[in-house]
Amino acid sequence: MLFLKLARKKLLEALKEFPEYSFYTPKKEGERVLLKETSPDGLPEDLRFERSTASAKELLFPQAETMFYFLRYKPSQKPVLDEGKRLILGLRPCDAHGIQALEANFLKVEPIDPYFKRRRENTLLVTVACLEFEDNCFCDSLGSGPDRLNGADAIIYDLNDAVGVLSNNEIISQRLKDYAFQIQEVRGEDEVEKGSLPQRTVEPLPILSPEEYLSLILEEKLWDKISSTCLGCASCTYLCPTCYCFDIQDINYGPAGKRIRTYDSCMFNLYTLEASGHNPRPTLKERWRQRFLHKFSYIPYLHGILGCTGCGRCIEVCPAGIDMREVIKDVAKFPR
Amino acid sequence: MRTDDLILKCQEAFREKELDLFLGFERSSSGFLKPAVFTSLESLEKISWDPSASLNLATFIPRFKGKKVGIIAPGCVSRSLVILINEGQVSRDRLTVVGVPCQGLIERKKLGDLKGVRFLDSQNGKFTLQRGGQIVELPLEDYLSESCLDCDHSGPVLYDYLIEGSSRKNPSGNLEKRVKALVELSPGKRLLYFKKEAEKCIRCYACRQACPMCYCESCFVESSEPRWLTAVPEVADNLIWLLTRVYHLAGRCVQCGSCARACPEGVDLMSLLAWANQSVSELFQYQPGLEIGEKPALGEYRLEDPDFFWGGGLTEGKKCCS
Amino acid sequence: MEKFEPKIIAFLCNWCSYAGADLAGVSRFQYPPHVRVIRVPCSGRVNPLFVLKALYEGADGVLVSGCHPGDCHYQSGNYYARRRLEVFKKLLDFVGLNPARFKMAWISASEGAQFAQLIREFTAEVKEAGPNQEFVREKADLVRFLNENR
Repeated sequence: MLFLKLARKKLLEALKEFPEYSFYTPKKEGERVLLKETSPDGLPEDLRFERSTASAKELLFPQAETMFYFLRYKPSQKPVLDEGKRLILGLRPCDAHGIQALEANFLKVEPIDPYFKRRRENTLLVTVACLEFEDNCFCDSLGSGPDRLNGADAIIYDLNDAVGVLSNNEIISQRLKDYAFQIQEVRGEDEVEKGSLPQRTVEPLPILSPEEYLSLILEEKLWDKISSTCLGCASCTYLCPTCYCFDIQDINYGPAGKRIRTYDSCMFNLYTLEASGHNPRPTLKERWRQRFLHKFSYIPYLHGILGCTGCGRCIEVCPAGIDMREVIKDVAKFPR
Repeated sequence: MRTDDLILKCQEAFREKELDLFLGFERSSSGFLKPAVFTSLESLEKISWDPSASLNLATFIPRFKGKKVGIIAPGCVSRSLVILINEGQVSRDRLTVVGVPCQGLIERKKLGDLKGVRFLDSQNGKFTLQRGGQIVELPLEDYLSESCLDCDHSGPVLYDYLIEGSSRKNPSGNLEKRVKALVELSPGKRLLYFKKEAEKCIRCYACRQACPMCYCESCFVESSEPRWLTAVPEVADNLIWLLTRVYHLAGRCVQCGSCARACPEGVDLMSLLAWANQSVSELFQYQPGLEIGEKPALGEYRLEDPDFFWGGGLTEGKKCCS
Repeated sequence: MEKFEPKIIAFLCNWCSYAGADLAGVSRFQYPPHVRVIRVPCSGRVNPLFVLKALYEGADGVLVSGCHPGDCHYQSGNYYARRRLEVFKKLLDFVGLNPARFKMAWISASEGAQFAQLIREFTAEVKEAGPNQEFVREKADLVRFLNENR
């Protein structure tokens, strides 16, 4: 892992070392902040970007993608892979945590997902350490920010007159080397100079162990209370950086067809509905239990990282005003 | 309207009618009201009502079949309840309505950068927000949702208990004007406009879930045989979703704006809904949700209904969008 | 440019309009061949989604036809259809669909000549409106794939 210090101007200059990559940054458009392709010339020198409305997952695992085309009686399952090279700049450490959770699911266990794999290989993720907290985020309670590298290829720290870049990626460290005035071999975030980091005044949220959360699985009253006003829409799961469930459909045209995958959501009735008509998760109580325990018990248990990044998007969009922070507190308070 | 009166009245209703549960709002950690299900007299002390609420509470009613339910209802919610009763989704004797006055609800998308800020209070046409140590006072009128600005039934039409207070008057007519402006555009421009709106949709179905009239246990989008549309959020598919939902609501929608406020992408649902309702009201002289026992407009017919069919009576002189 | 030959889907009620089309056939009335007939039990059976689905799959025009008011085999099916389809048509017009693409009609079992006349008129209107690009589903990639692999 390398830590490089660069003058501010040099960092923007260094972007021309990545000619084969197209640049993506969060950009405000109307009420929404979208991850859009931009030219590397027009980047803000202070490297302050707004948090994107949808998480970075949409660039690596889009809402809808074609998996392969086929002809009737002549299946050719050659996957349609996205070969575009992208450098995504200005994400937040929590976004990188989300990508890490997706990697754990798509790349760390068989079968490995070829679509995500190719996109991830072709993508350089560069995050910027947060200078201030948003109204709804809580990464500090989860240990996923605001200064962590997480699943990113590099993180940029604001050191007032200069910037520090911490990177574990060969391409980035090699190409930035000539622009840096100081290079240091380090083992992690804790050994480097990070400038000023935001301070939280409220008490951190109580996070339990995966086993402790799992012990609550049969507490119907708890899940009933949490889910009582949930509407069962999918705005939280679609915008969540770590939700990776998808559905598969075939779309036909004459003898030709394509297989596509689109986001699915565990909050939908259809998600677990069986052909017989039986639904093992018939009400929102079971669906909420699944969503919560998946993020806070199953993913940590299987992959060793939390399935929640603390980005606060679900809090912002929930039409019923359900606040994940309150849910975390309610669960921790429940007698075990 | 004082919150104390509201609490006492709701508790009185809960006790007298021996209710199983009560639907209302309580304050969330951000200060904005969020829906809550109250199951005891003590818990009702947290019940509250002001313009920071967003959902139409009637959307929860079909969930509690067979239970005795209480609910606080401004004009739009009470009209939704009337329709739910007319359509057999809830029986009147299991429902206890506490009517509340309504000054309109805040559209949080209009708050822009302030949307994550703490909501403090609303009084006399103003509301206050707090960010850090800073307190901002804003005029309610500028931040109300479009449907509330246009509301012509702000007071409850159906109630068992009533909280006195003043409701919003003088509908702005802005939505009507906006619809009219759209009608005056050329069809090509209208199509472009609605395609652009449809492009935003991510098909999370928050609009459907937030709508009290969308109570179907299985929605047409979930049908796999026939499959009406794919799950890919492309324009044509999204248009089928939006149009069919709007069509299903024609003459049933009370224009509470619950769907528009719930939409995370800010799709213009209100102009479509307003147009559908306006068509039904012009063609069949029908206003949804005002009278118990009435049938939905598209669930009945009259012999003398206007007839624009080829070979029928009124083919001549028919114009688009007239 | 190739001459535009529109695709028209017609939902005809079993008891009147379908018989009317049949009569047009046995009476040897000439009408353009662009129309594909789908027989439905009653005009009241026509779910507006049928219309949207037809346009979505690439139809250039959609016709719904049933018994004249008062003649419905099921007493009132066409009265319901009259209300519903009128509102639906207004909605389609509002979002900017060319009004020529969707037509509703009354044709009785004895109106073979009128059926031929209706199809002639409707086909001309749809031809004038041109190919449906308003509501049609995105399938360029599938067409390309099919052409490459034929």
